[in-house]
Amino acid sequence: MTEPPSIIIELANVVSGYGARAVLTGVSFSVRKGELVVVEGATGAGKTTLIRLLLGAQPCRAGMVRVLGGDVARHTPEALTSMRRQIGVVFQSPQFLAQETVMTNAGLPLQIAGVSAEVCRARATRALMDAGLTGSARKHPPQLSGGEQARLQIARALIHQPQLVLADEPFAHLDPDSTAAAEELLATAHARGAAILITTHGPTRFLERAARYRLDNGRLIGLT
Amino acid sequence: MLSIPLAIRLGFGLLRSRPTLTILAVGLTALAAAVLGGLFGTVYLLRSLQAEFMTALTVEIELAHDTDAARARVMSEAENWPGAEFVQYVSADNVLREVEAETGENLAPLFGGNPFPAFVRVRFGHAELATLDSLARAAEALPEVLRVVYPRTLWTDLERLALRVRGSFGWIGGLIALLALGLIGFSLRAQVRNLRATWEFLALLGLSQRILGVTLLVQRLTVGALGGLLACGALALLAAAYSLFLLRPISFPFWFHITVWLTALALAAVAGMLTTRRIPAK
Repeated sequence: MTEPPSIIIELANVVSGYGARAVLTGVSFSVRKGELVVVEGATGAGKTTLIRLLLGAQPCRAGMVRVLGGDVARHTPEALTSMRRQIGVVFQSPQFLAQETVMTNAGLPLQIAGVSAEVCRARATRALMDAGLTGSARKHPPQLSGGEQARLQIARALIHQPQLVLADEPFAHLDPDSTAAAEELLATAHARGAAILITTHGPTRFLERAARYRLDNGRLIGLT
Repeated sequence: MLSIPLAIRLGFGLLRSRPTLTILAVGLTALAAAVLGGLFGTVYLLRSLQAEFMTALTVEIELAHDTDAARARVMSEAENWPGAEFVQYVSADNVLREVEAETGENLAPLFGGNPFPAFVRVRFGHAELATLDSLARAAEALPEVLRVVYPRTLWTDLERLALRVRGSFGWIGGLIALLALGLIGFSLRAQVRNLRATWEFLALLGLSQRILGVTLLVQRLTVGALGGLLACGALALLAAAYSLFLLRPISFPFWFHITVWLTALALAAVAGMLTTRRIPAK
C-alpha cells in the first residue's frame, strides 16, 4: 500500500461558481496530513462550494484542485468514487436514509465500500458507542434530536477512519453540550492523525488550535 | 466492489419513499400488461377456435350414383386423404331421415321422392384449407362424385376475421405499449427525482453509479413483477367471468400467464431505462 501524500489538499488559483456568478475567485491553500484547518466565512461566502469542490461535486472553472494526491478535475467517475470513499463528510444539513436505522446509517460508508455486514455492524456499534448513541441504534434518524443527528453524522464520517474529514458547519444550530460532544468526536479523529477541514461561521474552542482561513468576497485569506 | 445488499435495500427504500407513486406505477404496469394480455388472449382464443373448427370439420362427398362400386371407390379414396380420421357412408334414406328429423317436416311427398343423394362423410383430425381444396377438386373429377361439400366460406370468413383482429390488435397493442411506457416511466422517474438529495449525499459518500444502477433495476423489476402478478390475476378473473356468463369454459395455458408477467416486467424495465438513465443530481 502506498503512503498517503503529506499534502492532502492543494488548491491553486481556483475559480468556481454558479452560472455567471463566481463564488470562489483565485483561492489557493493547502492542508497537510493530520492538519486541522478551519475556513470561516459569512453565510453565502462559498464555504459549501469549497467543500463540494473538494469532493468533485462542483466544477472548477480555473485553477487546480488536488485531493489525496489526485487532480479532482481529471478523475474518472470510478476514481472520483474511490477518492470520496477515503473522505469522511459531514454535511451542513444532516443527510440520512430516513427509512434505515441509526445503526445502518452509521455504517453506510462501510456498506458502500462493500465491507461485510458483520464488520459493518461491529464497527457501527463501536462508532455509536463513541458518539453516545448506543441507545438509539434501532431508532430511525428522524426520531433523533438535532444534536444527536449531528453526532450521528460525525460518527458516520469517521467510521471508516478516513485520512481526510470535510465538515461543513458541523456545529451550526447545536447547543453548547451537543457542540462539545461533536467537537470531541472530531478531536479524537484528529488525534488519530486525520486531516480535518471544517467550515464555520463562528469559531469554537476546539478550533482555536486550527490553521484559520477566512472566505471573503470569494477570496481566501489566511488568519494564522 | 459492488454492494448488492445495499443496492437492493436502496431499491426497496426508493419504492417505500413514495408509496402513492409506487402504487401508480404498479397499477399502470398491471393495466397495460392486462390490456396487452387481453388482446393477445383474444387472438389466442380465436386461434384455438379456428383449431377447434378444423378439428371438428367434416366433408361430405355426394355420390352421383349410389352403387356399391361407386361407394367403395370414393370411400377408398377418402380413407387415403391426409388427415382423414373417420370415413362413413350415409345412404340417401338416412340423409332424408336426418333432414326430416331436423326440420320436422315430411319431405318425401313434398318433393315427390327422396331429393337427397347418398354421401360419404369424412371427418378430419386436422385440415388445412389449401389441402382440402385440392382434395375436393380431385374428388370432384371422379365420375362417381356429384360434388364435395364443406364449409369453405365460413372457414375463409373466420380466417379473414382472425387476420383483421390480429392486424388491428397489433396497432392497438403497439399504441397501448407506447402510452404505458410513457406513463410508467413518468411515475418511476418522479419517484427517483423525488430523492435527488439522497442520491447526491450517497454519491458524495462514494456510492458508485453502478450501485445506483442496480438500485434502479430493483425498483423497476419490483414494479414489473408486482404489476405482472396483478395483470395475471385480473386476466384469470376475466376468464372465469367469461366462462361463467357465456357458458363457454376458457382457460389460458401456463406459458400465457408467464408471457403476461414477462411483458409487465419488460414494460417497467424499458420504461425506467427510457426515462431515467442516470441518477439525477440535485
